Amino acid sequence: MDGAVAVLPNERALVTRAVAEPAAFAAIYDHYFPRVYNYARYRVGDAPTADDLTAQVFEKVLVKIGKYRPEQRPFAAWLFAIARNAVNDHLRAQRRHPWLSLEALRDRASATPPPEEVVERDESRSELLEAVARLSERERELVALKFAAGLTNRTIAELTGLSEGNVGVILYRAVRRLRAVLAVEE
Amino acid sequence: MDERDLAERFNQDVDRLLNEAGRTDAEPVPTEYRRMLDVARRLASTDFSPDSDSRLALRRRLLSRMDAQENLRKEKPMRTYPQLRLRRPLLVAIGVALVLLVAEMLLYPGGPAAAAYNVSTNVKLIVLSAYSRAQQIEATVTGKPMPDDGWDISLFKGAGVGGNGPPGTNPEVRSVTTLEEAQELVSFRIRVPEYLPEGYALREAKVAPVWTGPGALLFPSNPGAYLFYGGPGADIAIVQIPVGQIPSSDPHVAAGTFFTFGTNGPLEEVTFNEHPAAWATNVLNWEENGIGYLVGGPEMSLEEAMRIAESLR
Repeated sequence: MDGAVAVLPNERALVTRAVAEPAAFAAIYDHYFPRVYNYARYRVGDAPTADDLTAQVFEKVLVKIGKYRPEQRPFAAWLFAIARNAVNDHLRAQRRHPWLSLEALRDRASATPPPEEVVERDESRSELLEAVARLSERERELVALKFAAGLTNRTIAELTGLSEGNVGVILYRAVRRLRAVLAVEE
Repeated sequence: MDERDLAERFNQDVDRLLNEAGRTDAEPVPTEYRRMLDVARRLASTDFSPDSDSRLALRRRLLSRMDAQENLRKEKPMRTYPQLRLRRPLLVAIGVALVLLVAEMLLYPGGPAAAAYNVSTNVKLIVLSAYSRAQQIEATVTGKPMPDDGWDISLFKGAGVGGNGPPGTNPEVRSVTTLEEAQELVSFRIRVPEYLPEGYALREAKVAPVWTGPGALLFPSNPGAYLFYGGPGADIAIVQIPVGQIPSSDPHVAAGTFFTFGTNGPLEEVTFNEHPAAWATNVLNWEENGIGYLVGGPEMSLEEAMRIAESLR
């Protein structure tokens, strides 16, 4: 199996062409944007920060894609190593200087009532994010790498330095905790 | 079955669920276990990315940058464009002793990145990106006033920022006292430092156009922000100017906003947050996510500038 559960068709050729061809880079961007964004969202929670971090990740991908070596590791593993570094750097800085972004403030100030179905969808998503936020940082990271990034346990183990068995146990415990939190909220 | 066995079984089921469109083993499983698989399915299938405000804009920006890089590769180096000859007198006219910076919008056929080669051989050039560069120049102080179509902002003694519009125009620099007012006037999110030396606070913000007059009818104005922080020591200035390709109504004409940092003092290439950056005596310059940045002050050290720059949020 490759490093990710969902692999972009002809990914290897696309990545090679993406160094110089905007269309190939666009295909990679379109495929991976939701996964990188969702990964960041599970880890940091708020939308503006996830946006900023996703932008940082793809800026770095654009700069570094010429140095990517497919024989060394799958593209998704390479990409999410960049994403993981970006989020970890952000969280380290956050611990030093807690802050609330202007966008977050603006979101809070918004008073326009959304339609009912949007409210229900948003509540469900907020509930999920709040439950994920209750996990430990390590659990949250593994949940994000598994379910948002779509990486295999083996690739997650390589990225995080944990054993594959340990990754499986942490994920199992994390989902069990999420199940308990979500059951209480039901 | 101990926890490790349960975890292994669970992870196999999750992989099957993720790989095979949600299918799991048909054999009956305890209710609690099935609910855990439901949570896993929910985690994998919930897509937050429609919340993104920047997905399309980021895509455009990245692809524009690729186009610009491609143009750079295709162009022959060391060509001289009229813009450089026009710019040199402007640099001198600003009357800057040590450091100056020019924000400019160039209009020319053939792609925006071509202007990155508008340098002569006797200057040191650091290319920060397709749209940003820092160069060491041989400017002298003349004290001549700015031309009518120019604008300038003094950042601190010995450092200024200038730009120009078409002949006959009078570009306006707006001054405000709060970040919120400045934010209203620009098209990008102004980043503010979380770290500043003790006792420092925002004193003033200025917003300056890159291009005004008839050009603004053809191309949207894309002003930059200039933040001034006052405290017990010398002022600290933070400049943020959007750079990159600008939409053009003429398919045969490309337009772009460039950020050129010039100094007649020493210029050192450094790295900031994995971006190529330039350090000139007391000013740090780099480009990040389509914004040209400058952090400086008359008493600024490289370490302090990096610390402030790293704290920009």
